[in-house]
Amino acid sequence: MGENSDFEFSDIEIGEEQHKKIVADVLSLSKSQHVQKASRTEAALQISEFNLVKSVTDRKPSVHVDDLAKVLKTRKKHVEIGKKVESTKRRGRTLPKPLEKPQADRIKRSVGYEKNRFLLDRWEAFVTSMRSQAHQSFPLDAVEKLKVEGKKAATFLDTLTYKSKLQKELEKIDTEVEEYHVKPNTEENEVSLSLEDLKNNRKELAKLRARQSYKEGKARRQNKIKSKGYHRILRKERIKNKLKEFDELQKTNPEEALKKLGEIEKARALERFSLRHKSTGQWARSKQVRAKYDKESRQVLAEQLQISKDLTQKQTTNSDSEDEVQDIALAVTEPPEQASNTPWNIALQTKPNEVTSFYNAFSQYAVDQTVPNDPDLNITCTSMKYKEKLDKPIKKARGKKIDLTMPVQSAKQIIDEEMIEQPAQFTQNFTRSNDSISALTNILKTNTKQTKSDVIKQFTKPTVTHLNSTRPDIIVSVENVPEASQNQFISEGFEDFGIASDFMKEKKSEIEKDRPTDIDSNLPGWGSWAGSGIDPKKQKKRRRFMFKMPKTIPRRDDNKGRLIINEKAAKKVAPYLVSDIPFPFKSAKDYEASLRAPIGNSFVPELAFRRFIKPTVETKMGTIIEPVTTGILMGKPNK
Amino acid sequence: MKVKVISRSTDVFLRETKQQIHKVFRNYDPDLHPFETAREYTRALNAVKLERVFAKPFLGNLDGHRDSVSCIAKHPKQLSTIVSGAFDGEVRIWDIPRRVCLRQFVAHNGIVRGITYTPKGLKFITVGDDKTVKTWNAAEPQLGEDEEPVNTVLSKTVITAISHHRQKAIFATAGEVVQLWEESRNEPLRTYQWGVDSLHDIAFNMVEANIFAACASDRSIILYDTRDNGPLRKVVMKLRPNKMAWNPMEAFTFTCANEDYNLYTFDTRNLNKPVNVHMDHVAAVTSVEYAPTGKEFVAGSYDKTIRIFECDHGHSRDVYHTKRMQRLTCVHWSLDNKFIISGSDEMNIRIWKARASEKLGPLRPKERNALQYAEALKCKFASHPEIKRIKRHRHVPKHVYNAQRELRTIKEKEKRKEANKRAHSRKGTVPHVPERQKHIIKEVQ
Repeated sequence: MGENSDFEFSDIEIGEEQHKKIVADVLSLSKSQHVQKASRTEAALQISEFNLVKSVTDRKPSVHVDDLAKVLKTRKKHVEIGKKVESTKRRGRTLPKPLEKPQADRIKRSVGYEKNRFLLDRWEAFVTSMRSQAHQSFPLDAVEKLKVEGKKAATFLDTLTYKSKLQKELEKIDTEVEEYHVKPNTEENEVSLSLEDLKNNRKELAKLRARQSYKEGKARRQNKIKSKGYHRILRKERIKNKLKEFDELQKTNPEEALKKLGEIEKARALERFSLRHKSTGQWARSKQVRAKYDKESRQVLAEQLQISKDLTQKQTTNSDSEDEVQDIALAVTEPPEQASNTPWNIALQTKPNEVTSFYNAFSQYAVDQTVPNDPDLNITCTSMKYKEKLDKPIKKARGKKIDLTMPVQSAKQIIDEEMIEQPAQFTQNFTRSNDSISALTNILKTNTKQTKSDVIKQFTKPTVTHLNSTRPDIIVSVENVPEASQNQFISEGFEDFGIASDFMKEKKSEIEKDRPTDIDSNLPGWGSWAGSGIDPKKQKKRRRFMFKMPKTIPRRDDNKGRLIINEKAAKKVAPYLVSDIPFPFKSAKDYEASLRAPIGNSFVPELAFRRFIKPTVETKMGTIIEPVTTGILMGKPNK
Repeated sequence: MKVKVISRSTDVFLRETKQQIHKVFRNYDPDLHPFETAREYTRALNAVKLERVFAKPFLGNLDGHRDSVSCIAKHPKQLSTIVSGAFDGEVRIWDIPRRVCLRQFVAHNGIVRGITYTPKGLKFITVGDDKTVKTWNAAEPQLGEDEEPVNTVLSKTVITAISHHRQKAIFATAGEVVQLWEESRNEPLRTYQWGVDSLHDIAFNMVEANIFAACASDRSIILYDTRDNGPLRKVVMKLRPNKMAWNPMEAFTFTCANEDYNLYTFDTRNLNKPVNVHMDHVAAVTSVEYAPTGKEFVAGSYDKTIRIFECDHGHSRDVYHTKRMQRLTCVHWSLDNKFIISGSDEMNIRIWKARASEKLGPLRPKERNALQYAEALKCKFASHPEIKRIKRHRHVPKHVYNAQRELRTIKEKEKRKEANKRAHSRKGTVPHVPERQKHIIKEVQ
């Protein structure tokens, strides 16, 4: 009883919560859970399997959402929440069981692979372009980083301004004049200068001196240059400038231009007169070398000298006959007496060399501009037409309208060739030349009254005369020959020799030679027995092992008539020829064309050559070639 | 009368001073050059002959190792420096132009399996048979200091190969498993395993630097991604791939050196068939490395030869060998595209020219033009039989020559047999299998 009472007593004493706990403990006795649930203390990649605990939640969840929702019944809002929970619980389904690990891994791998494949696909275009490029230079980002720095001192000095604007302008106009006037600051000198001012002044002066000395040095260096080429270039430049000037002058001030032209021609005439060119040409010099040993060359040289002598003599002669034929080309060469009268002769004498060279250039220029024909054509003209044409301008000159054709001539050819061939004509021409000069002087006088525009017209629009020359005659004679086929010629020419029949004979023998002979495969000596009782005459000829060749074998030149084709020759070359069309080509024709096009610099210009020989891969010596980076896809340099 | 004669004065064709260039009179009128093609052909022929005359690729060797050279690594920033490991655990650093060993020390117990420089070239990492990953300073230690690794990591598994990420401080090792390491951590970042017991080579992609691939002993090549994906795909071949190299200019191309004497170039996006099969070796190919231009690669083989292949050609462009060079263990192409470095079984490291007849050093413009012209001519007449023959002609060691003949016979025999089979069986039962598909077993997802 005591135990009972005790029990009862204890029953009373035990509270609700305690009771519940006891019940739970008793219930959980069957599910033994001796190991505590793992608690994480340190970050680890792998979770040990020994710490795994059975999940209590999946069978009999300790916490029910419903229970939580039930608590919230007190308010209206909360009731709604409870309903929502219930509805979601009704709709919600349990998640499917996760896949088997190998299967899941496979899916993960294939997804990852696809992702990476997509990444790699971005490179397709770049790789294709890299593969197809004919020329590549590595490293890829190699951009020329070299900068040509100008002379530091010069640029530094340029930044400093110590020249006035006016001075600069003046320098632009006439760059050759370089004068530096350093004014002593007299006024300022009187005033006591501060230390800074003094320093500044000194600095400026130093700069000036530096500049000056630099310029001087440059000039000195230029003067010292002995190179013929350099001076030649300078001279050419000067001539070009003068030509340009002349061109401009021709447009703006034709009178002046005319004068200048006169000057130029004068200079040339003087130059020719100086007899310096008698025996100085390359040809003459080479003759001189040979003259010692060679009679002929001596003779030729003497002849040439004679010619020059004649020339000079004839030029000095003056004839007054006006109605004779005149040659434009020689219209300008004046006798020296007249020339000396002109006022501009003085100017000419000062710089004859330069003017002559200018003249030469000019004449070339004029020829190029006006007359498409050879200069010879002008000279070898015949009389009649010319006469008319040349008469006109003189008349016109009197009637204020003068045909001022640009006197077209070339420097040497006239004297070298034409004069020799037609000395008589030449003299006639010369007699006329005076006239033209007088006409020109007339113009100079009369034209002062003339309007400018007229003169310009006359000057700028030279009438071009196409003249008959000896050359066409030759052509005509060729044309007149009756046409005949080459075969006819040959047959006519070799009529007597019987060349055709000879050739046919040769062809026959050639065919015979190429024909294969019969093959005898009998063993030597077999069947030709000897001995007593054997008659060698009676022995049969064995034909059993003879291979007969056909008598006629088709040849490539069978129906070609007079043609022998050597078929063996092709066989010899064959191993050196390409048998198949190589890869990028599709037809033999294209491939042959590519072979035919030369790439060497002895056949193609230098620039094309450079392009042809450009190597497919260029690298820089001693430079590391980095692999490409993804940046290159974005157009960034490979860094 | 003036008679024009053909005469030449010396003034016309002699130069006044030495500094002047020779006057060359040219007339490009094609009518004046009727034999231009023939002349160029002759020039091409001469050029190709000269190429063979000047083909002397061997430059020198670096000797000092006391055991076979197992691996070599190039310095990423200096062309002159390489580091090599040997089978006795010794590591040596070399100065190539002077051909001297700068440093030497024993790094591992047992074989040095792999060496790699860090991207900036300040350190290098070695792995060895003693399951350690050691990081060393690239700079020489101060006087009196010992050669000691900056860091040593003890790995739980055997490591056989190492490859460094191009930019990040990450490297991967292969062995029993593939492990991804961070330079500053002693535990691997990640460990990947895909049903293989061992892997023997690993290489990071240089362009898409997150991808790397490993050669496994189950005759497969496995692609990995350093990001969370892990292994991506595997391609199983008939025989084991020994080594692999990624093309530095093409993100998706890699080549593997195979045990079946061939090399296979793969497109990562389409692994079920190699893009190209490169034949010519007569023994297992043990190493491969791309030229930095990505146009060519070099392969070293167990047949004691080095062969240079163009990426898009099935056969080698050149073969290098010397009498004393034994089995190749590693080959490298220098980063300026000029030299090839090879390590072999007989303890020497050899330096070769990448182009056998190339003239080294600066060229004068005229010289360069002439060489380029010769090159262009060779290219133009490349398909002419005589030129082709001379260009291809090589002397190979007797054993290679004989092996080539033998292989040729074997191949012909197989071909004949297959043709016979096809001829004597019902149509379609013996299908044509292209060479490119013959050597692949399957692509595994």
